Amino acid sequence: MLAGCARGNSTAVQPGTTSLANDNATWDQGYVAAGRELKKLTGYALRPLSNPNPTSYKQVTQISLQTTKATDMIKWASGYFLKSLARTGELSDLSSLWSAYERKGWVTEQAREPMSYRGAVYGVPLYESYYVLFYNTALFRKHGLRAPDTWEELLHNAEVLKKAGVIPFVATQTGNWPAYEWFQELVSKVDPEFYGELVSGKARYTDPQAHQALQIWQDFMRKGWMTPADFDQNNGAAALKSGRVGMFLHGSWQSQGIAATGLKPGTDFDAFVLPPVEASTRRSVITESGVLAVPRKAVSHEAAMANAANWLDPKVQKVWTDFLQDASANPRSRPGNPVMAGLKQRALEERWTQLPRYGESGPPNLVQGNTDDLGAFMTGASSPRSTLRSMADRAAKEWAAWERDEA
Amino acid sequence: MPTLTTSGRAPRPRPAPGRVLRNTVLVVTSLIWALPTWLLLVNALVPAADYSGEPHWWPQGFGLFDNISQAWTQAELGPAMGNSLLYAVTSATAAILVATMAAFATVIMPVKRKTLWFWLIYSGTLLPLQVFLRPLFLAYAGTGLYDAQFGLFLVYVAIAVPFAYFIMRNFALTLAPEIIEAARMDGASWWRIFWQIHVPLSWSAMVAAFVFQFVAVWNDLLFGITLSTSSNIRPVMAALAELQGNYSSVGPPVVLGGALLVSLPTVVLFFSAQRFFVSSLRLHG
Amino acid sequence: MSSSVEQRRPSPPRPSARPDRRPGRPADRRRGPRQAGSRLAGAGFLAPAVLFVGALLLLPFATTIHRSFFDDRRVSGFAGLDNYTLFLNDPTLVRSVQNTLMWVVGSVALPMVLGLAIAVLTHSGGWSRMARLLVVLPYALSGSAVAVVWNFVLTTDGAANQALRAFGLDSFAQGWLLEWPGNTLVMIIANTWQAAGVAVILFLVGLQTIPPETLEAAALDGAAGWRKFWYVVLPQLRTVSVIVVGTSLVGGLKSFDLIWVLTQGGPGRQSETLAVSMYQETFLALHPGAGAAVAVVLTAIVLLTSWLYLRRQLTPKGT
Repeated sequence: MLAGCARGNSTAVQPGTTSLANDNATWDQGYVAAGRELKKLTGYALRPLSNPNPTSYKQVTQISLQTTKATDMIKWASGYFLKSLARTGELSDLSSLWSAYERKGWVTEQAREPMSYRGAVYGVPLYESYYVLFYNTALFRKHGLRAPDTWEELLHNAEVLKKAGVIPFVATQTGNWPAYEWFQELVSKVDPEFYGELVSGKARYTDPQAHQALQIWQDFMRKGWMTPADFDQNNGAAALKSGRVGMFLHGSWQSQGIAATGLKPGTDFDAFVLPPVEASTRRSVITESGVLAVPRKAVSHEAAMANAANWLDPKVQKVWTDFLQDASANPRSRPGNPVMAGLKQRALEERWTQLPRYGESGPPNLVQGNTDDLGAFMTGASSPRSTLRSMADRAAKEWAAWERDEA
Repeated sequence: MPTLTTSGRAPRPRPAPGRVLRNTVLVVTSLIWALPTWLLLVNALVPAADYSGEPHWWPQGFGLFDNISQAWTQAELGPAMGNSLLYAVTSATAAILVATMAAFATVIMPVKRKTLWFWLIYSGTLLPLQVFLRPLFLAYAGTGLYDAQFGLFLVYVAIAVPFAYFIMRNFALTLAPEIIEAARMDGASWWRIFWQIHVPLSWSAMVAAFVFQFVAVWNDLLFGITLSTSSNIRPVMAALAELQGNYSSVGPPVVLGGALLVSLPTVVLFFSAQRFFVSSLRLHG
Repeated sequence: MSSSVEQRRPSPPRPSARPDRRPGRPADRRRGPRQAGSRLAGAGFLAPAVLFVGALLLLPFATTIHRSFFDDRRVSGFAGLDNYTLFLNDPTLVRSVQNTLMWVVGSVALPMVLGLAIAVLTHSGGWSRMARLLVVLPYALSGSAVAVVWNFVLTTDGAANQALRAFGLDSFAQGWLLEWPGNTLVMIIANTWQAAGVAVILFLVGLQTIPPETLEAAALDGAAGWRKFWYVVLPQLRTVSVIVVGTSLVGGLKSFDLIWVLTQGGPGRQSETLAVSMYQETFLALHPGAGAAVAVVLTAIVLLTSWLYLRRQLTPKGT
């Protein structure tokens, strides 16, 4: 009976390829295309293995690292997710490979920390997205608006759109993690340095900057500037196209989804990064990068290391970012998407502070719990003060737990 | 109830008020019940590009086949449906058989400690499924059952047995013991009694249990994505979940088209099993 | 059920007609001379089920019980009952227990009443078969279809609010999934929509088992309408009711799927049930020890409730 049953064809070793476990099947074609470029450089193509459910993916990958079924490469989240995995000792040290990237100028200085644990590098950035506000250019033109460069212009846009019956901003807690999108934006636009300290456990959630951010947020909600807290972001692109919402805050990877509704990037839709609340405050942008890591017990370990060493090659990145319609972590690689190319260039020229996304910037269970608190805040179930107090309490507890585990 | 009031053979001179009430209740209930299904159908019909982000109430254009074919190719639903059909048929059949045997043993045969056996088997259905993921994954990875059809078959049988056993056992209790006693007196073996008397008598309960287990296996996502990863092993819900992960770029109509398509086999199964659920013999016969 | 099959199948010996038949009879009064052999055969009949359940379900569960006694530090140490104290001091778990209770009551009562009513009302066939189909159909739909549809209905921009506004009932329009306890209640309704089909089918199967002689006898006695339903039909559906209640009880306690796709237990973990809390703790908050403790408590509750309910029902009436 056992002989009559099929076995998985993608978990078997296939010469000339490295398997890449990931949680997003829609990127399979992109990996395959980038793999073709990698093959020219290393002799190994990429063979994506995807699990459609991110939670299940995390779990299965963590367990599989301990078994002999480890894939050659894995996609992971940066920051504390990577640190948690690295400290199990099941990942390969990529520090020498990172130094080679640095010598070529293919990575920025800021990119290293989220990929490191105790000084050693354990991952290569898969992509580098910005958190931006997408807008429908036709809608903005119709109401005589332009992408805001200052906080006042942003408020003006929101007022005009609201009067015209358009909901100015997409904000939601559906899917859980989006609840922190506005939190990270507003806190970092009130004070980027404070945001950096807050997420690394040095500042407190009860400090005035965090309070100001939540006040602004609550004010926006009370004015009816934000979508209901159960808005489905999957409908965001359609709502932007039909002009029901004005500005859609999301990762720049959403560009692909908006383009899929038939809008053209750069002409039909564009994006801007939220301006700082005070004109004197330094400009900053929230970034998100996925990670490529190599399990210690990878079946084709050498091949996987070779591919990790060449992933950021501009030739590979060109194919990859053209597929993603997003930006590369390699500053020498220019995105094909005009929206992203413009933002990236401006960020580099004006030396914007790049800040890590909230989701990866603390012990995973701290982020999880605080995101739940923000979700409750968005439905009006808790006030700014009590929300922040609860977040602060959890931060104290979870940072202590993290430090204790480090010791 | 009303159905049974009409059971007399005498002709009724005027429509009873109870009957009018009954029909009204039935019509209203089923219409309310049909509303979400209606929304499902209507929105699966909307051409993907015309979807505005709000649910439609009335059909607009006809994009159903486009939506379904897009779902079919994007999520590679074909092979996945083949896999699920295989799992659902084989493991539901195996589970019903195993469960019917166990029910036969604990109800008809002179087995000791019946209550203990009952709880041992039935407790399988009391455990939350999510509990099994981690231990099963580790065990599967260690034994070569991971990412193999046989591995999924085994786990589906295991989760199907307890509930099927519960149904089969309770129906076995309603069977007349005299038949078995007579057969035992005639010297028939337990094996023969099981196949020639018990199984034919339990037929319609077995069909009902089969339908439930088929649906349960067909709709499983949890084990499918945990214990397999290759597309030639993946059950259909895992393939559909990939489509849903891609929701924002393909749009709800395509997801609904795919969801409708993968629901077809279970709907067909229900239609064809109907005659087992409704007796050929009328209560007012 | 036996009677219906017998009408079509002449082969098995036909039992004597027993209009007053009770749904079963104690099994262990049958004692033959070949007992030892029968015991062995009995073991053979039982073994496959016990093996499947034991190896693939009970054994993994044993490891979960074991895990619940260890803490969630990086190097996990023995923690005794520490993980279980969460039930005393974590407000989320208290809310989760409340929600679970609501789910149990809702998912036992609603499918039971609606399922029975629809099965009885549509039993006669004819056009009512159509109505029955509409009720049973959702059960056959895939989980993702159900998720998308109820999202359509229940979100603030959704169909429910559109309909209310169309009828001028704007003040009733609300964020159905956003506030407790409303979100738990609407999800219980959504669940009933999908799950009542099982009860309908089971009751239909049950209705078949009522021997026509019983009804005829009752009709001769002059019993009609409600009285006949209450005193003649309902008692005959006892076996089926046990199955329906028994499974809804377990299903209600283990509610997970629909909650996960509609709210993920949110906002702010207010709509979690114990099964969702367990998943949250184990896989999202990465507290496998705490998650295991929730799993053990949940299982204990399910076992206890089922036992309390079933211990009287397990053996047929009168014994």
